[in-house]
Amino acid sequence: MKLADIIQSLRDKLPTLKRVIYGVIGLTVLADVLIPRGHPVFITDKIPGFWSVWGLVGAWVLTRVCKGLGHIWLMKDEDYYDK
Amino acid sequence: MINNLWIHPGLVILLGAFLLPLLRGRLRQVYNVALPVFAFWAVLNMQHGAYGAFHFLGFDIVLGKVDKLSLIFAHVFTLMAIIGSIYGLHVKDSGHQVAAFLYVGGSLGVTFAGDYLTLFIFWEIMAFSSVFLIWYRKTKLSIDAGYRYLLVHVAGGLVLLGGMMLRYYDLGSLAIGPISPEGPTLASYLIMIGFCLNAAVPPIHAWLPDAYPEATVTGAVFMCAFTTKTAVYTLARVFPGFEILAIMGAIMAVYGVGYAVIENDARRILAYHIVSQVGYMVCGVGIGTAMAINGACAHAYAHIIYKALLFMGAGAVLEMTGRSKLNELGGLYKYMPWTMVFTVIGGISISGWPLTSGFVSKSMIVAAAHHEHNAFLTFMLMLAGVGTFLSVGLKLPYYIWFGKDSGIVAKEAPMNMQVGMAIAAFLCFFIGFYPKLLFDLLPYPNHWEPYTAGHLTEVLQVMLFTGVGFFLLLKRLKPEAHLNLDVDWFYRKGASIFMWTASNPISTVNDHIGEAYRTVGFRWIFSGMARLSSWFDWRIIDGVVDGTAYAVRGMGDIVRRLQTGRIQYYIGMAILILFLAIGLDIWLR
Repeated sequence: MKLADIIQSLRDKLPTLKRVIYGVIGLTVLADVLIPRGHPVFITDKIPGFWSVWGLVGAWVLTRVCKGLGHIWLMKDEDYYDK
Repeated sequence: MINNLWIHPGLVILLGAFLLPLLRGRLRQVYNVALPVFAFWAVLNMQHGAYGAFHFLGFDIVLGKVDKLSLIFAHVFTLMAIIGSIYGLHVKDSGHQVAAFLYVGGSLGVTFAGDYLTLFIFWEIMAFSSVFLIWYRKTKLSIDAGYRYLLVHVAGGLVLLGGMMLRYYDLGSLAIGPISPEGPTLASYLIMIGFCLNAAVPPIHAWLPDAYPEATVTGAVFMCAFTTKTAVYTLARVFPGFEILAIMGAIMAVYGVGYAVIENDARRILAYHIVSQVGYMVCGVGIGTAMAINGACAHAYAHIIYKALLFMGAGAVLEMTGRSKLNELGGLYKYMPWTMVFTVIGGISISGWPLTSGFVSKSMIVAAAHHEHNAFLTFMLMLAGVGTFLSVGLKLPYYIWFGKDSGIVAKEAPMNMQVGMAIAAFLCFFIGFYPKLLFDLLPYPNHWEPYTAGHLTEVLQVMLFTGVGFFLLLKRLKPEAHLNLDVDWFYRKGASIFMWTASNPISTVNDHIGEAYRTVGFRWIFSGMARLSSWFDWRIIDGVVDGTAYAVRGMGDIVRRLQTGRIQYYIGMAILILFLAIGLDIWLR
């Protein structure tokens, strides 16, 4: 079970892994600020870092709205249709 | 009269399927893979043109209309049949594999159909063979889900048939070709609804997340590839540039991920993601520019591979642990690491990470919407992208392989399953690294370059910050053991309310009306029928419908021991209503 050991060792180095990911995130945002985008169509195309905000806010909105709708309306017991 | 030598890959697989039960052991396994390989070879060596054209009872039948649009779909369908066959090699029951091949053959038949009659026959073969991929699971849940699946598809098929007949009445031709978005008729809309039902466009989508998670492990791998993508092909063939499709596509892309966020069953999450991903394609078809149609085709190609990979991964977990609900799983990385790696590759491909197939295909549709300056479509699709990574890229693997340790001890999936997954995973990267191969198959010349600095930073930002969001929201995203209401409520719960009403107050009234109907009604219907048959050769449709009706009843009997309802009669009734409606429409003209 070699592959499982590799995954396990990555899990053990979680703090290092996190730092690497934060580094990548930082670099991506930096690149977005530095590299000009071609053919702006919408106003959002001109805002550096717009898609970072989109990803974060999008994840939050989707989670809250869908889970919220689920809790107040859509979620039923698993045997709902058998009753 | 066959024009010249042309091998129909669909007929090869359809007819070849019947040899399968005669073979045993290793020989059957070899044949099981060799048959789709031969079909794939036939597709690779195909030249453009119209083949298998003949005259049949006054109709111009074209079995093989070969152009770039049909070829790219046939290419990926046969490729997928090879992967699916390898993945399903361990299945003992040959009937299961026969059903899968009939289904694949039907789908290829639709892809090459040059007229609506051919299309319709193969369309129905698909529905009636695929239902067995659900029934072979042999649980009460899957038998019931299979019946609902059949009911919905027969209804959709009838709407399509109605559209076809009206179209023939209007134009006198059954040839398939693009319909202009200007001045569509009732016939066009009926055909579109028939196609959209198979493409799972809300609100006629609920059959998909209802049925696919109840299918067998291998069955779901086949089903996720063919029905919806065949429908995308027909939409791209007949309805390019219909704005309603662009809007519906964008809505369905978000609708699907919305349910995926709250769903608990791994395969149901994936099923809702089919709705979402097919939304991109339907949107591309609706935009209708060369780039958008290219995007829809490229995305269908990439999607078939990575979605099958995801279903193979979730299916392997189901096969080895007997579970597919996320709240019952967790900590499997120690036991099924390869399945995990393959599934994660599927997960990042569907999310559209750079260097995967999703990156080069999905972005083409988004870029087409952006290019048309359509903000609604662009931002809906980008929001769906966030939800895709959130629920399939992160939530699904996290709660199966990490999360809270469920204490389940499982073995790694069998070798043939791993090989199937490995081929699909390889293709995900191969298309991502070398998109030219896919772009060369597209119906229009491609001028779009996926790997630009601007596009890379855009996608990476969305993905990385969605990832940050996921870990911040981890507690809120916890899977819950619940069932989520969707529009299938209307025929699952609504049906029982209807039955109660029908069995009490209405039945009394019905007895009286029935008497009047028997004496007066029939004469009226028969004179209507006489007029109908003067314009549409009655023998054909009669044959189709009778065949369908007998097939439904025959199959109904097979599984009746587990079924309480009498769905055959509902379907029979639906057919009758359809013919009455069409008769009425023509009568009134």
